[in-house]
Amino acid sequence: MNWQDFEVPVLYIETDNLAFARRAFSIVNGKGKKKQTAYQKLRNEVNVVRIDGDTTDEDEVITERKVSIAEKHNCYPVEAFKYKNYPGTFSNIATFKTLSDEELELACGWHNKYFHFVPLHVSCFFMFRDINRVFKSAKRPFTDKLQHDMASMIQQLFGDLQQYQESVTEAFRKWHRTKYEYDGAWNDEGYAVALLQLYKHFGGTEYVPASLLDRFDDLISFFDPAILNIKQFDDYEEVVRRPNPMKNLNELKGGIGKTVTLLDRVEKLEDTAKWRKAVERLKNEGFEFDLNRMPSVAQVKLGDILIDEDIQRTLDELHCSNIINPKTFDPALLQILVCIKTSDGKFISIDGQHTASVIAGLIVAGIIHD
Amino acid sequence: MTDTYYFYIVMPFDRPGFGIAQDIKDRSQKYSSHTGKLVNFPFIYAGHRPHAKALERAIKTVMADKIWVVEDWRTEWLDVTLSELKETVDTLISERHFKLKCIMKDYNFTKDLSKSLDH
Repeated sequence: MNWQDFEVPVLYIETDNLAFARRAFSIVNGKGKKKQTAYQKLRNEVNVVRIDGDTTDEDEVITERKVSIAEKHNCYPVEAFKYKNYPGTFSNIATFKTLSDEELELACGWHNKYFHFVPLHVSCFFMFRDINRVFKSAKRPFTDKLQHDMASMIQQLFGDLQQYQESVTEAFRKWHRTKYEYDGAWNDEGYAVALLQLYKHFGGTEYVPASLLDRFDDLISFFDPAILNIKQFDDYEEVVRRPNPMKNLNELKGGIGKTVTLLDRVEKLEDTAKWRKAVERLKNEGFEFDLNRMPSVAQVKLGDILIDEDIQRTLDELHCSNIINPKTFDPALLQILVCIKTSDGKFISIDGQHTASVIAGLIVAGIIHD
Repeated sequence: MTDTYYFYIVMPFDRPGFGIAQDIKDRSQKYSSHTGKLVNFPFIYAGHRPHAKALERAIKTVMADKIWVVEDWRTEWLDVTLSELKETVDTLISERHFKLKCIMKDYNFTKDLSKSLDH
């Protein structure tokens, strides 16, 4: 088989305007494109395991297991803009994924036991991850008593973890400015260190490894005097547990099982003032929708596709090698090439040069054959 | 610097709002200055500063769907009655054990805060 004669599907726009091609490259590679969110990626991983029963991908199985641990403790990953006010929800998926199963049991279990009435603040993940790892290294138990005392401090001194986050980051800002005479970036290790320093400040008696206490030296002296002036924090007081709406709203519990037509989307747009205003602006500008400007699709021989190196990036050989990872490579997932077609019949690539290169390379290597 | 912090409910017109302040007299003057009339704070609570802030945030969370929205613009006022907001505030303080208590009703900057419910 000659790779030059191999035909691939190409989406193309007819133009001789290379400036258009350059802008189009920016758009299809990020600018103007709505990227998949971390939650959407997680949702797909979970649904592959739960709905499709496919456990062939180890990473997807691990993600589903972590989500199951969170759900067991009434904690729910959500999209940042959706359900974020409900108890137990969290949207920082990236940090969630860095925790081991044991750390998630601790963090989500603690949240559900003591702060089941508010969303799960990301500082909970950082604290329990960092504290658990140091206690394990020190080969000492992270006791229930210490976890209870941490909850008492958060409730009695701050109200909840979100308020603790505001207080500790403000203390850190003042500490850094005083010590180094410039504003430094927040360090997530500060959540655990400052809380345990405060614990010892208030006379906490449980063992805490010194390595968790000797960082950021006198950070706690920069906390609000309203906190430091308290002689001793009171014990945690129970908070009424109410039914959590997320039990029914959780989209990861076997998916939402709903498919809709585009009519649903059109109706949603028409119900939105921003959309109506945007349409009005388009009309006022006298915009005419030119049907001939819409892209076309054709089967094009690989040998007829040109890559303008002033438009496309240089070839990333490592990226091409990663595409053909036998664990994930599937011809069904190859993307359609995007090109401009000039008046002299040339197809100039805007997007998909790596896909085209991989196909041509696999033909040359004898992997794709008749 | 005093450790006392205030949480207030305000209702200059049809809808209630709320906020927190360290200097409640100054805040009352600013509301009156903006609206062109003496603005009363129907209820003022005082107490532990971090808890006042946590209460303010908790109301924003539990009443997120009660915010008065004009077209798609979310205002800083609530589409509820004064008593509904007061009930939510009192429930949150009680259930979450915030160290705050109601110290005065119908306050504005012309009134003496020291003659509060506590005195």
